[in-house]
Amino acid sequence: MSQSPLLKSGLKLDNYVRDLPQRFNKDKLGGTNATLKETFVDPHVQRRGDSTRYPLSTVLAEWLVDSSRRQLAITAEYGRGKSTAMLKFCTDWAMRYVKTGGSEERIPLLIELRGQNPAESDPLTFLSAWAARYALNPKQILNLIEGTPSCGACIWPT
Amino acid sequence: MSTLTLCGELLYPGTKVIYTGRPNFFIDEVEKNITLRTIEIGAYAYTQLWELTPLTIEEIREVADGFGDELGAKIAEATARNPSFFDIVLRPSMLPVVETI
Repeated sequence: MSQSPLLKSGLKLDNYVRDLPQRFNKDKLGGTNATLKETFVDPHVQRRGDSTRYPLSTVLAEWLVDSSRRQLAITAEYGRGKSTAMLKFCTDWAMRYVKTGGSEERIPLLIELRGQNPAESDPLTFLSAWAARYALNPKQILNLIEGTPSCGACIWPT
Repeated sequence: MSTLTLCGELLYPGTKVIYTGRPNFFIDEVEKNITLRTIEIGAYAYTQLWELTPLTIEEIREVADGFGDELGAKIAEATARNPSFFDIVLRPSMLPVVETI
């Protein structure tokens, strides 16, 4: 067994994989009976200087299999759907995780920086508050990031 | 800003990160480019910038239909009568507000 399955098997992701679909598929949008799932359309993105609109799902799919060290930053004014797009991306993973029991996929960690304390000065402390929300061991999460292909969706403060 | 920099410290080889946020979070382009490392240099990690485009009228209608009550058609009709209304509803987050009104 390689390092990757060992690290993944030690993680108790139950709360995390339950929370994501709950937020996207079941939680009602304020004051309405609709959910994000019922009102979601695949967002489009573009590069500066290029008016072509690309489906975000296509950009993400290509990026996931890109072996380079290219990371992504997606900007938009408030309310345009950045957070929802990342929640959808992670929910899709969670649904597959529940169905297949994990497999070899990267584990996306949806971290909202707006809830992070600026005084946090090292990666372990940085991950602790987020991990506590899902009863995860932050050291295990850090090991996962260090030792296996993983991906994170970080939403910076507004 | 420090938490964003700290997030960058998690960029071990093999790790992939997506940052999302408002463009005006940074003071200027220089700060944005430095913080997100947008310049590709050798084998180092770098960040490719994308901008989420506003919804089109067809997409607004599709989102609004998710709220039921033919809201999509009503919003399309309202937008045709009052173009400034489009500036409000092109933000998906505003549609629940419109629906409750």
